[in-house]
Amino acid sequence: MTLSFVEAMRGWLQGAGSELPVSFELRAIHRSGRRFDVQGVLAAPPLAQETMTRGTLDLGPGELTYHLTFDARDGRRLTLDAVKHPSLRAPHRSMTRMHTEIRDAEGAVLASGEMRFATRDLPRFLSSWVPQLFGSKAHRELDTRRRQIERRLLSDGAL
Amino acid sequence: MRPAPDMQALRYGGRPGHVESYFVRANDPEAPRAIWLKATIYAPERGPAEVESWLVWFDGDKPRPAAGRESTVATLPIAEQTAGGTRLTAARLTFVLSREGAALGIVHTSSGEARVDLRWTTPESPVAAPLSLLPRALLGEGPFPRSKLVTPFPSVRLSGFIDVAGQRVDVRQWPGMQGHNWGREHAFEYAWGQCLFPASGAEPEAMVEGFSARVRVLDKLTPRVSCLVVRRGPRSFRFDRLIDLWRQCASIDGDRWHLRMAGRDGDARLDMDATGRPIACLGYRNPDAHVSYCMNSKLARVRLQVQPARGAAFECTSEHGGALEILRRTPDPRFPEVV
Repeated sequence: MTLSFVEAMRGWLQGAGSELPVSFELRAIHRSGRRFDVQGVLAAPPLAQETMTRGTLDLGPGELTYHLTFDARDGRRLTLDAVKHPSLRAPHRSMTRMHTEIRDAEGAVLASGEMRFATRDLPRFLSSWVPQLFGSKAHRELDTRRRQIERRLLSDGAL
Repeated sequence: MRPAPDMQALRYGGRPGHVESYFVRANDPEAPRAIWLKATIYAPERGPAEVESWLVWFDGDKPRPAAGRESTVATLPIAEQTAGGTRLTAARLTFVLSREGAALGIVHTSSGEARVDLRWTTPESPVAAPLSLLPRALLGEGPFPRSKLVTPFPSVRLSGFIDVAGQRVDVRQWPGMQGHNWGREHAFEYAWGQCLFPASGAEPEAMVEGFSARVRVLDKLTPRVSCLVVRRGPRSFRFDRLIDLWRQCASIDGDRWHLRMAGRDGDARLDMDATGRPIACLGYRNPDAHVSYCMNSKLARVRLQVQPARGAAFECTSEHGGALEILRRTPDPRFPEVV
């Protein structure tokens, strides 16, 4: 049975001399070993308005690594890399905050900073852990957001 | 959509120690030009009450706006209810305050007489719904704070014409707003801003309005407290926990106002900057005869960033659509001429 869950994180990154907000909401589907495939929605204005994203979540020894790709507003393919370092000394802080970087295709860092998991999202996060076939309210709402983005991208001719 | 009757109702009851204003502004969506009109009832603690009309015409190509004020002794009733709405006349300027309102009349300005004939309509939009920045009815109607503000129509469309500075300006569906404020005095210091962001492609219409102010309580000045409301399409984000000073940070630096707010609805950053833009320095009399100085710009650059508690982060920008007013108790040496 394949497990899946939905996770949302948000934060403010420093880039191009100013702060920019970044947020994502992802569905993670367990694939093998310590790897999850993830897909969902991401926004990092002005680099990217709300758009679709996909990538991986790796549960490595001592760290959780997110690697996402998404399309910027100007058509560039960008990546978001983030890492958590779970620690028994600071379990809450280490599991709810992660250093994040957005890079372009050449690897140049466009923005970096910290993203956070909001504690108020914990019930939604926990209730989203279900077998992939079933889904939860969080899964359904994420699907709705993805469909809205798909419709917008279609109407813009971007899909 | 119709504002609560008390939002437009005249608070002045004929007693001294009161100042109250209705104002309208509109921005040319195609160019850095804007009009601001205001009618004020000024009832000093001593002496007869007056009504004042104000007009400022902002043209991004000119360093100084065309600005003027006229005042006359007030005669009661100042406002009357008509079929078209509340009708209020200050000097030679008349406002019809309604969902389909008007601003008509003449004001003498630094560039000669200016004539306005403007009518507005209110779009059917959640963004255009009446707005109170202050969070509770008690704050809106009670003794604290000593100055109040509401926005009966945060988003209107104005059409008509303005004869100003030797030219006729045709106004066609300019976005704007109509506000109302009153109190026993002007706040000691404030920055107030409002901006409309028109719908564009998939981006819905949005609006931001907020303030940072220091007010007097029991003869002591409060720290700077701020409120911010953002509307975007059907969603509204309120940052209005006045006493939660840990979650708000405001700075007023010259002609720039920067605000960071956090709350149940998420996080927001607002940056409004009128540096290098036309600014009018307006002298606002307090009922105790002290004068406050309002640096009034309607062409400020605006950047709004919102990180909602639920949903995608978004950003709205406007190159010259921001209404920014910064009021202080001291004159600004850059403006030897105060309107």
